[in-house]
Amino acid sequence: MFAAEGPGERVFGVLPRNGVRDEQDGEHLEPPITQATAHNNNVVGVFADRVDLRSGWQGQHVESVSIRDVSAVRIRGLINCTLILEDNAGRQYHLERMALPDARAVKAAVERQKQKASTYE
Amino acid sequence: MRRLGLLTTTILILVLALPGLAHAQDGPTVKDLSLAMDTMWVVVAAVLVLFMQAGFAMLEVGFSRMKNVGSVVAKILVNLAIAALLFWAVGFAIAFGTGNAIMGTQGWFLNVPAGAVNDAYAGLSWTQVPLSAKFLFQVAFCAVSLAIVWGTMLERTKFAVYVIFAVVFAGLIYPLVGHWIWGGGWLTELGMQDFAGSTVVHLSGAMAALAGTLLLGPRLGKYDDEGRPVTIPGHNMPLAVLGVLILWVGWYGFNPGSTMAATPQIADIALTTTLAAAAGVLGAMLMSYAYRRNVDVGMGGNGAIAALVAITAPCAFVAPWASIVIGFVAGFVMYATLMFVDRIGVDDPLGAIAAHGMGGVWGTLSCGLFTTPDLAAVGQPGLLYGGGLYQLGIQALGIIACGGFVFLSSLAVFAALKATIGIRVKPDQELDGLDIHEHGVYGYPDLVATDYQNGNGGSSRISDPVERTAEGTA
Repeated sequence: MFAAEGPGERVFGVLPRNGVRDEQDGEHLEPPITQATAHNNNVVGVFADRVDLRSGWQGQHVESVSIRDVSAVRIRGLINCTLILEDNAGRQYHLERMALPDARAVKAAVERQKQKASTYE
Repeated sequence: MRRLGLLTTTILILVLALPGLAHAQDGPTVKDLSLAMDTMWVVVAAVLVLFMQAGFAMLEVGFSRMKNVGSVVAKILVNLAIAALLFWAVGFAIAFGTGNAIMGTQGWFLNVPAGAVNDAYAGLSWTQVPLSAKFLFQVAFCAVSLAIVWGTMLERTKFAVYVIFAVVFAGLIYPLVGHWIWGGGWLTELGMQDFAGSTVVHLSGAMAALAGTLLLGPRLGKYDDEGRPVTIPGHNMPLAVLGVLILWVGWYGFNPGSTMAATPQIADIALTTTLAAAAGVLGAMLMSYAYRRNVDVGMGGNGAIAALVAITAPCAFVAPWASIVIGFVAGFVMYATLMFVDRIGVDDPLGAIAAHGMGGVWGTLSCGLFTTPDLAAVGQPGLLYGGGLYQLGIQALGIIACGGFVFLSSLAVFAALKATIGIRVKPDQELDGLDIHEHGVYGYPDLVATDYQNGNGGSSRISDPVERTAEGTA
């Protein structure tokens, strides 16, 4: 399960403490730029303005991180990869057991959107 | 007068010629008839085993959700096609070609002169049927083993993964194990007993399945937030049971057909097969009732399959009473394994690891227990007949060697696929169903498409009917 952490802290196996919301009406109609499945019902989706981290056994919990708030995206591992998303507040989100091509696609999409966002600032 | 003379002469000539005609049309010899009957039986058995693909199709369709049925049957078709071609090209030679303790090295592409068949395929020189009949029968077994692999990986695997892994499995992994046990390899030399393939076919398929599903991960929604398994019911139990029954009938080609000769023994083998399957159904249903106070239809079907898998190895070596014990225990073992596998986070929609894996292990080991001295055509009698622990040890060695090899080699292939192309479909594809995304058509267009158009489907939205069961509250 991915984890949301305060600065300098890592916690696994719990739902994020901040910014959790239920899916909004019509939200499902907006297709993501890319998305991928991680361990334990976790799904990451990259949109034009945000990254959605969906969790819960029916995908009912969604934590959104604005593209502008994403500070870094790292990939660890080769076969069962961990995608580590870090925001400006120092929180790290770990999405485990992803496939390498999926993790790379998410990382590339996030970096591309960040570049676009900084172009229009 | 002249006409009478001409007529008489003609009749005399014909009468004299008749014995000559009779000699020119000598009837078939006993040997010819025996060969014809053997060939007919092997071909019929091969067709029965090939028809087991229909059984797998119905079983997997029944245990799947409606939105994925098209992908299931497409997978069955492509796997059969790839298995046939790869086994023809290289697999049959590796499995049964004359070679060394590890693999065969002759007979590629079935390209062998007519008089040299037994020299090229020493592993099958014990049967007199034509090469084409031998191949037809063995390729059906390869296809069955491959079909088992995908039972654990339903509803979330990319179609390309099926294709690529099938090439490796049918061309290399399965034939190597086949050579070790059936083709004159090192386990043949040790006297390992596996008459029709509990280890070669079923354990191999299950170990490859386990390797794949460990890397694939469970379906979305299979485990709740506390990690407890959630039942994702199949959409059609009648189809699933039809699949079981087709498999059961197909097993009459699988086990008795492995004699590769039309002998009276095939009736005895059919008897042990039938008794084991019947006992397996009851064993699994009893376990289901004891555990949940109801009789699960799917478990009953899996009990039959586990028992059939278990009896596959010892079917020609054991007495009828032993086949009942083997089948009954297989039902118990299957149920317990399925519960265990579910709880440790391994999502197996069909129960293939339990039925084919543990059924294969139990069946292979049971040779070392129940093989009678009269029927031990290979190896030694079992422990219960004074054969000691030798045969049991050989069986265990074979299980560990073959199971371990298949698991590790399959894990390597799936790991390479996961690191390069990925083995799992995108989340929205999984939730919408593989039919429309992988194949462009729905398996049930009238039902699923209508539902989709009414807005009850859609990307990025989880709307699957999953339910909590008593498993989650234990």
